[in-house]
Amino acid sequence: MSPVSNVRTSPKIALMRGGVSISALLGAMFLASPVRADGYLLDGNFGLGSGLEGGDTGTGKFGWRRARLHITTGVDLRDDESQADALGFRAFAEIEKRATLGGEIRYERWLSHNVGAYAGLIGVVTPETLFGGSVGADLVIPFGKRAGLFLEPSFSVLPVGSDLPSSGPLVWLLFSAGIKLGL
Amino acid sequence: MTSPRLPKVTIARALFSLCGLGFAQLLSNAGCSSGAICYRNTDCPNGSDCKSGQCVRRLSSEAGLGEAGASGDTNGAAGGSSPTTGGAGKSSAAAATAGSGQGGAPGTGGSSAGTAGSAGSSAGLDGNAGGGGLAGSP
Repeated sequence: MSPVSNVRTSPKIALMRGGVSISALLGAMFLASPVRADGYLLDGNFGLGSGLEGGDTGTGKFGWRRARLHITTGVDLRDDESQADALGFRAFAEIEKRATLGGEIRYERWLSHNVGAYAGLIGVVTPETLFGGSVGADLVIPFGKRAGLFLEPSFSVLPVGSDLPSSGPLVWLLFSAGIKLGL
Repeated sequence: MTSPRLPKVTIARALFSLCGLGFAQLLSNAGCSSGAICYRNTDCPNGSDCKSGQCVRRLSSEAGLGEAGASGDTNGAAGGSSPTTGGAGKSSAAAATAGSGQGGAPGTGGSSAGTAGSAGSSAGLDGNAGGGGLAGSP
């Protein structure tokens, strides 16, 4: 007899081998833990800011003054596969005169690990409302591996809301600084 | 002969410091309006709105249906001092917006001729003072 005829398998054995292969494949597929392909990196922020506030008082004349002090806190969510893109959420309070509370949602684009720019929507929600858009830049001076000092100039235009005494928009030219922490 | 070069870091720090000082100077006074001008309604106290850069009392049903004193005018009639005229209510601007209670009860006549009735002195719902007191009967 030739050696080939010796290695020829019976249909029964072939069926058993096929069953084992399929069960192993199914087991690997269903028992394996899912891969985290879309995780987020979380950064927390806390800072203070002030600057210039411009607006129309209702007389048709646009004027400037010092903006109220802002206390800002929030988080940045960065995709771990595309860390240049981030989504930022901020809550802020103006603590001079009648205190106000507001928030901001922004798309951030990081040119490097420490320099970025953003654009987003900003608004005050209480005690009066004020809504608009803002753009700005971020510069992070790292302190250690996870912490840093952020510096953030921003420009906001807020044309809508019950806080406006006239139809003219309110303009904020703010500079904020604070702590950024990798969470 | 070559001139000594400053390190870039030093130049950057100097520029940064200058920017900071300039910004502080800008915030302190340059080109800014005084705090007396309002740009937002929240620049004004509760119950007031910003109109043409000035805070004025809000005219709403809460503050009074009548001529609640935005300008601080008194609303009550001037108190009469003659024997036949009752003393009228006297309300201040603050009182005109403060009260939701009833106006002061009209004063009742005095016991002797020539004495005016005392007037109500608390502000009413509509910002008017209590009605004038009745003259005392002779």
